[in-house]
Amino acid sequence: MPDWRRLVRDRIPAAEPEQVEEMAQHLEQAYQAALNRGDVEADAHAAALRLLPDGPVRWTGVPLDVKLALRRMIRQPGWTAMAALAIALGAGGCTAIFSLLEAVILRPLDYHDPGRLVMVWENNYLRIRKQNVVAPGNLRDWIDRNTVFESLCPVLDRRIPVLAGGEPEELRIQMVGPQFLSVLGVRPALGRDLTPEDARPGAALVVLISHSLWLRKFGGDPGVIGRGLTGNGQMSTIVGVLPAGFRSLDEAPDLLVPFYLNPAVDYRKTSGRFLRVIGRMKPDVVLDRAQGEMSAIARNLESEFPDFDKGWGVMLVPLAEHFAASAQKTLWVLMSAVGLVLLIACANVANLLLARSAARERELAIRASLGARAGRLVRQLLTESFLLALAGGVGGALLAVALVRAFRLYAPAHTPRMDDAGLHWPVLLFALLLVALTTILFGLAPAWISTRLSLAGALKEGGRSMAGAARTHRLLNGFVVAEVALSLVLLTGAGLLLRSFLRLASVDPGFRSQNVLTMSVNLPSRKYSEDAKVIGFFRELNERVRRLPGVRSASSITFLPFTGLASATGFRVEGRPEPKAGEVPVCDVRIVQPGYFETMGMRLLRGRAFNEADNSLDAPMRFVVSETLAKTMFPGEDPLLHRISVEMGRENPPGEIIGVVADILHYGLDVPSRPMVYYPHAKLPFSFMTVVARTEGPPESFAPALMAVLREMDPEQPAAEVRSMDEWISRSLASPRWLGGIVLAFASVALLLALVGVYGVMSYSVAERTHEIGVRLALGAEPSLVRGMMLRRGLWLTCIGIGAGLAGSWAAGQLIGGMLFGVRPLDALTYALAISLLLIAATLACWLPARRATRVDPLVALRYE
Amino acid sequence: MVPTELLVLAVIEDRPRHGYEIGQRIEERSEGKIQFHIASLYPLLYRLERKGWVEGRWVEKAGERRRRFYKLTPAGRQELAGQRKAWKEYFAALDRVAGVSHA
Repeated sequence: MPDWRRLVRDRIPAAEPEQVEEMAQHLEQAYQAALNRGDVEADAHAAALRLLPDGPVRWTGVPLDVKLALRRMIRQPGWTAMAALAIALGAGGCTAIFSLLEAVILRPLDYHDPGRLVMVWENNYLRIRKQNVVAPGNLRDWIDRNTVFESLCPVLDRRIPVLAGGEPEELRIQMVGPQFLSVLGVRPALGRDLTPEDARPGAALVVLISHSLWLRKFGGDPGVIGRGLTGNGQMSTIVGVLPAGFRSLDEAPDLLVPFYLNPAVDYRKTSGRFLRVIGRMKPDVVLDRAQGEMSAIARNLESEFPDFDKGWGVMLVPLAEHFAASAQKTLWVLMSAVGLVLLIACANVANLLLARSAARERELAIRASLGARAGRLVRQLLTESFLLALAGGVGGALLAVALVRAFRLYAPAHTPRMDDAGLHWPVLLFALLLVALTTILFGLAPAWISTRLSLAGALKEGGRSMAGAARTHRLLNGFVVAEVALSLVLLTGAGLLLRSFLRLASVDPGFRSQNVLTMSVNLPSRKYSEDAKVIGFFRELNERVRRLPGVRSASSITFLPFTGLASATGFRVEGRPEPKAGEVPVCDVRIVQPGYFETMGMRLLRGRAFNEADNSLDAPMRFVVSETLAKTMFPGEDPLLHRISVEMGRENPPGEIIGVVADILHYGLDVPSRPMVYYPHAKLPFSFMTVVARTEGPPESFAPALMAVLREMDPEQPAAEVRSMDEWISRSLASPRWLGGIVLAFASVALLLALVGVYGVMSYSVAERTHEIGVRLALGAEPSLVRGMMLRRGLWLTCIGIGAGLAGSWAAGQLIGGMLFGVRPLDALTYALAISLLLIAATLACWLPARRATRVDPLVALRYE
Repeated sequence: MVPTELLVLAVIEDRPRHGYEIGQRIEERSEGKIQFHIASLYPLLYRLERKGWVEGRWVEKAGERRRRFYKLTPAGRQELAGQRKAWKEYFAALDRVAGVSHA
């Protein structure tokens, strides 16, 4: 006896087990009844089968639609995964990148009325340094003379050693005008704000602490107000706690202390330019007017103090612009890249749906002819599309959350406001809506096409109308061309950024960065008030580090290359005429202990390096200069015969040049060297130095030993930024690596999607022509000929796409041209690689369906009708 | 208003019947003119059940397999009366217009 239950399950897949049982009984009874009437077994069987539908049928009801759609999705896991993945990648990627853009650039600043906040810079128009830090003397005159600002406030960032229970630690401190918080419109979360009285000479030392420091060091105890904190060897009283998440300009300082301009000091005599200044414009003042007035004040100062101010103007930059500037271009490039991925994803979803719809036209046409109402069919298709969009959407949302987290984690340090980035829901909704619309639109394609079929025609022609097929073809081809074109744009863009990054990473910094460990040490000035003490401390520290087993040599320097820190000043060559005001040559200044050049592996070109004799208080002034300085100042002369005077201290006696070292890169692998003068530490005893040690083997493993040496010498002295020189360089590459990596990831996704797109269309094409191919094969066509025919079609589409993509790539190259290092936007190698990659991928995507085409069994193909 | 609903409701008016019996009875009474696919009959029964017009129940008898019987509910009885009336009016109208007698 036949297996009735299986028959029922096959023909009516939606039936529940109990319903199957019931219907199977029905069939069995009909079968028995026929036998009882005297039918032979075969006739009885046929009689029962007549009660069953020919093929699988659907039942009605929305939950049933969902069930059927789910079953269909599960039955084609590859197809479903591809479509859902395309949606997720497009929507999720786009949302993540836009969320960053929104946080970093588009979201208004958290400060009160941020439109009136501006950064005020000095602007050296002779040396074209547009945004230079400000001299305190100039700031004081600006404050006295301007009528456009409610307030102008100095900001100075430092790191200081702090003792506040437990381990000594180096903290970020910001010295600010006492009105700073009110300029920003921020109130302390606890305690009080700074007051002008706090900034008077002789006033008790007060400090505001950050919310995170409050939690970390004081356990969030509200009784912290009035307690003491030892910073830089001095005791200060905590008067307030900053609000959680407070960001002061682009920093998140641990401590905020008052900065004070002493009216009794003539700063133009004692110090250079080192302050950042933020101002709040008066409510009725616009930027142009403020800029005009400040420029006029600067011109007056130029004539009043030509020695100091010749060539210096003022430049106002709205705070929002200041924040956005550094990250803006990168994020827009990412946004364009992700936009392309979204487009490709949409095209891909459309492609997959359209290609599959072809297979369903016949089914739908038959159902329509059997009396299924159009609404019923549309509902079925809508359910499937909706479920697909839902699956992709959920995946996209999860992906977006993960991506935002990852981006924040791996973003270059100090990208302003990056920490505030969270998932931006409106964008997620927009992206989801876009893909959902695509999905639904093209999900309905079969219904759209089949309603245009005359039923009779559809059945007669094997379920396919020629007009409908042609329409589907044109659409599919269009999508494939677009996908290939967009993919090429992304591939060339990623290629350019990648090549640029590799070029950059292979630049020789001029020293051997391998196996060098660095550790920054910032001595509290109160505790180490005498120069001799500071010199002695670092001399002994270097000595002890040098004696560690496995350390070959050690020294220290003020500002390590690739840390972003620097100092520069004017200098004069003895015996040459005094340069005109504003035209004094400028050099970078670094202060080193003996052994620095050797430890860093720098080449000595002329003369000798510093020795211990040079590094004492009573030694004569001696300098080592860089190659660039020697070449620009002493062309065709022997620099060792010259003496120079460098404006670093109160008195700057001229000193002999004893050596010339090769240039090294200080500011980044893509920033050319500037003229440089090296001082021996004893002649300019800074208390902030970075120890460098050349080690045998991995430098990181020496970190505990170095820190132990420091603790032995002074248990209260914190060490900071203990890391290898290679890591410093690697960090300086964070930005290009980040950008290149992300664009490359996008390009890979795009390539994958394009591959899927081409594959889908070719598969469709093969499926559709199964009959024709079968006939050709049956008539004796060579399989290779059939394969070639299918391949040609796919590659032809790819080539059209590449042609269109070249134009887009050219445009994209112009966009990122300024970000490239050592690679031109029309780099032939990059283009060749991108095109080859795309062609190889397309060939593969065409080959598989083409091969399947030649495996068509002629008999099956013919019977298909 | 669907005629198939009327057919099913009418054949279980006198007593509960199982699915096969319902199909058979409709076929017999229509003298073979009306036949149900099981893929139409059962979904129809389940739909009537969802509407609350019939009630299906598995009944087990000793020595026999359990079978599902469908019984007319009071709501179903009311519906049947309503539909009968509506169809009668419809056929009467047909008769008046086109001379088609349903007797």
